Amino acid sequence: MRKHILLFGTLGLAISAFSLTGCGKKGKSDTYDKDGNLIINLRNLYFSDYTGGGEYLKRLEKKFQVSLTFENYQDENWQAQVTSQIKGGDLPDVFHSNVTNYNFVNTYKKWAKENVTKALPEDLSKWPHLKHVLDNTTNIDALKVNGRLYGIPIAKNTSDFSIKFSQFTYLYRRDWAKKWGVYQENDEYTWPQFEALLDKFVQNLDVNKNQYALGDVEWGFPSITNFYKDVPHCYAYDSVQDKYVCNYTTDEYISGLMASKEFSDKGRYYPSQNTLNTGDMRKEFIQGRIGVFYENISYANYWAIREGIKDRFKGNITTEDLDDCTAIMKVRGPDGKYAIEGIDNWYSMTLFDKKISDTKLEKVLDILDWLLDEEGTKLAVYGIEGYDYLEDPVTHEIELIPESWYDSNGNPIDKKNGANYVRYLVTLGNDTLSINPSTDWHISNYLDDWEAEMKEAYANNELRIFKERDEVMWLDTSLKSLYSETMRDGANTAAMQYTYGAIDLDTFKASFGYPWGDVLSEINSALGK
Amino acid sequence: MKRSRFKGLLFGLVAMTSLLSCQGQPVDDSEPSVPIDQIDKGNIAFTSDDIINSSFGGLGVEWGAYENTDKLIENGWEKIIDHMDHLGPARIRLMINYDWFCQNFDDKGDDDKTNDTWTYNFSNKYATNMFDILDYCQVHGIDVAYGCWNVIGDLKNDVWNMMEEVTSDIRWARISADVLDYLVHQKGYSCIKWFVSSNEPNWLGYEGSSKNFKNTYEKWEQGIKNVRKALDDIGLTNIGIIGGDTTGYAGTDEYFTNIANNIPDLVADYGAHLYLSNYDVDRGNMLTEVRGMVKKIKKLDSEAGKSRPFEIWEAGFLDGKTILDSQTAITACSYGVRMTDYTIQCLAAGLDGVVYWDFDDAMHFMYTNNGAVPKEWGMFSSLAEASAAKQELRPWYHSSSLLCHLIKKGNKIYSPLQNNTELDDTFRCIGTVNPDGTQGGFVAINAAYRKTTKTFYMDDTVSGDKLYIYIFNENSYRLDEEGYITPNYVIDGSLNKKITLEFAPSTAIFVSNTRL
Repeated sequence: MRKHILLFGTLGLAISAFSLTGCGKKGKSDTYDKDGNLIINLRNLYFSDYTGGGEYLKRLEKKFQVSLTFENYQDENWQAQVTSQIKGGDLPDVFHSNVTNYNFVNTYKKWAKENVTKALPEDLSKWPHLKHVLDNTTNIDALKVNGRLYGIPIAKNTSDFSIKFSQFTYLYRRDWAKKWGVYQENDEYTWPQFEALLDKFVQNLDVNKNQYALGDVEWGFPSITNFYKDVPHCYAYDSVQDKYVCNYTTDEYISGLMASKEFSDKGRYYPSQNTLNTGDMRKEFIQGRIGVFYENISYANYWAIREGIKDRFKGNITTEDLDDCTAIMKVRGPDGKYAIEGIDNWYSMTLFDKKISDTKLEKVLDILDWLLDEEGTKLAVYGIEGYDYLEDPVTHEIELIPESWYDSNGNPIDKKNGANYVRYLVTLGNDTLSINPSTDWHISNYLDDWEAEMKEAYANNELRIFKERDEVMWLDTSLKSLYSETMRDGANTAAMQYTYGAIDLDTFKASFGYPWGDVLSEINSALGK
Repeated sequence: MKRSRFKGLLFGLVAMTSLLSCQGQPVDDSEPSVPIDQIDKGNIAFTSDDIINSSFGGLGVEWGAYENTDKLIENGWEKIIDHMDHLGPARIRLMINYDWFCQNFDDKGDDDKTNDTWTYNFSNKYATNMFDILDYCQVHGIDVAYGCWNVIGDLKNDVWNMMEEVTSDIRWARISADVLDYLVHQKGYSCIKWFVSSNEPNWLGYEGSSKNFKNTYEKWEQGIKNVRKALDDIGLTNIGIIGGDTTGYAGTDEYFTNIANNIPDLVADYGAHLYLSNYDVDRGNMLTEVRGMVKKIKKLDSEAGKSRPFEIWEAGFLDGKTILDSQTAITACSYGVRMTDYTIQCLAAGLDGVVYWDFDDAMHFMYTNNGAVPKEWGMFSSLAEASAAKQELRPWYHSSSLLCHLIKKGNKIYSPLQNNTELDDTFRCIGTVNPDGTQGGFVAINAAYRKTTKTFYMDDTVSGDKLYIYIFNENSYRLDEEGYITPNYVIDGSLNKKITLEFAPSTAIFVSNTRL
């Protein structure tokens, strides 16, 4: 049996129980089921295939006298579904939206100002665990509209808010690298070694079978620029001029773009990124047609990729072979450093329909706060005491009961723990991955090891994190709000065209005319540059 | 009628009353009334006053029409039939799509649905497969619940315009009657006993991806009224309509309550789908929940549990379900142990039938951008693309086969007082005997993480001088040379004599006077 000790000391909070019911007046929209439970409709991308039911949810519902309904979003058109419901006026009580800096003004802030979404209470002291998470959310002030927060940024990790870099990096076919004699110890590659590996892959792969050396996730192309550019997207800071400039025409980005074109010209790159739909490149990698794959290797994505490959081999693949098919590659750029895109500790938000009552909003906050508390976390992560786990009354050591967690073949049972799904409204659960018995330890360990290496590299000045400055990233000005997303999309299209030789460099540079100048002027003016 | 275990004075009278008042129907009317401290945990006697159903409806499996028979392995159908032969269900649920058969739709260019016309084509691979299944059931005396998944039409190009009114659309009843008229009157499939008026009507799904998105109970009820009349008009009065076919406790409660209040005489049963947490079954919550549901509806409908029995039409588990609608737990023996427990709890609660979801991975697919992905919930896979391991019979096929062969249609079902979660939430059992006492036995489950020992005895006379004992857990179940289950022990003995059995953790034991 695996033993765990739950630690909640990081909060440093001594929280007494408080009333969970009767908070505030009932709103007009409140409806109750036949047993008097408040009905709350939830919709979230992370619900995946969970549609409710099960003992764990029942316990949560009973504790809070609620009846929760679940609906997910389809990954392919998540934002379109959110927008459609807003336009149709049929939002669920609690919904979920992608709120990155590129759309937050046009979505999050707009919705707040137009009374689509409901603000959180100003005083969050009743929900100390939730408040703790919000207080530690990076750039939280940028999300305030007239001083109010209109939703909950979903934290990637509520036990470590210090993560500065994303998990956007390369997976690769270590087995191919070994077979063709280009494998490097510990999966670490210098830039020349990386190029040599790709060239060896090109040499051995068969384009007639649609096999290619390098492919990027659709939103990440061309990933080669990462090793050159200073910011991920539009607005680079020019320290000489002390002002913001177009990132895509900086020397750094152009160098990266030219390198990308060289990669394409040498046949290293997948030849038709422009034809791909979301998720297509992942399928190519799973199908064994891509040697090196740039992707967001979050736990969920990494798990899905490995499961996809297992399915491809109909389960007839050893863990070692699977590891060799999906190894995490560590590439140092021409400057000798790793390069990873910087991020905040969240990227999407749980939002509330403006029409819901204060009672309902507070009930949801009650639930989320409890799920961040020790008791709620135990239900969400471990399940039911006596069935899923035993707890030592003195040491509080948790002992899992294997019969509950593993089937008779010894395979972990994917439990549909409704409490855990509700917890996704406030955190992705990375904080509980290490204690969650359902975690695939291979994946978790690989990611932990990679993250630790990158943290160490950062500490040793061997990792370059590229990220827009906060002051410009969350700046809310009219032209920036209006054009940023289309400017970014246009730039990416032009970059793709140049990489594949559809346009020349001059044409690429010339594509950054209107409205770039006006937007940058507005930004520099707003920031006193 | 209250059941009592004060044997000395009342036993004879109570037992006689049970039998007299409830022949041919489920008989449970109340919660067990004996104080817990008076129930013997270790000695279990199946007596006449434990009879909870005097003529059981039957166990079965979902055997839906195959969506693509081109994908089957070579000689796949023979293998499927062989497996069905050995499974021995009393009933199946066979669902089809009307889209497969309806063509040449003409709405006459107006909004009047009464003048719409279409034709039927039963000369395609879907129909051929449907006939194969019905032929088998007709020959083997298997009762069929036949139905259509949902309304006709395409989500992206809804030329039929049925998704607004769903099954209340008048054409739903017309098509249903036409198809059943053809199958029963022309093709002679008298094995069709029930009609399923759309799958899980309470599950609305998502706008744009579900044909059922705009359904309401009221629309479903109107559909039942329309279909009932349409069937009656063509003389199909003997085909019952499943009352609900809903999923989950909450939705089922809503539909059952409305049915009991509004249209009890129009339905043949109270039918539900239940996909449960492992915990719900392992700790006996299901028994308590289902008993509560039965009790509630019986108060509203005096024929509930009698001429209108309670039945499960899709039995499955929530834990292990994947995003592509497959079940990862089916490969393990523990799935069979839990499904056995699930069955025991249903029968102990007075339900008249359980249909397992489902028979063969090859029947249904999830259609993704990456192609059709099989929904793997089955007892095996007959798909050519499946690995050899997936094509093998899974453990829960064997436990289901034991259940189907032990607890036959028409049998009496005994649920002793030990089926009480307050007494023990990890042990349950039921006994069963056929009407003439020539076939019977019991199945018991130890869902605990520890061993337990119990002594069993059947009070009603059951003939036979041999006992066939099957121990079902990961380490113990045995297969014969053909790959079908075989007893661990065959001993001289009688069900009317006490037998003491030691249960390993998470184990089901079947004891029968016949080879199952």
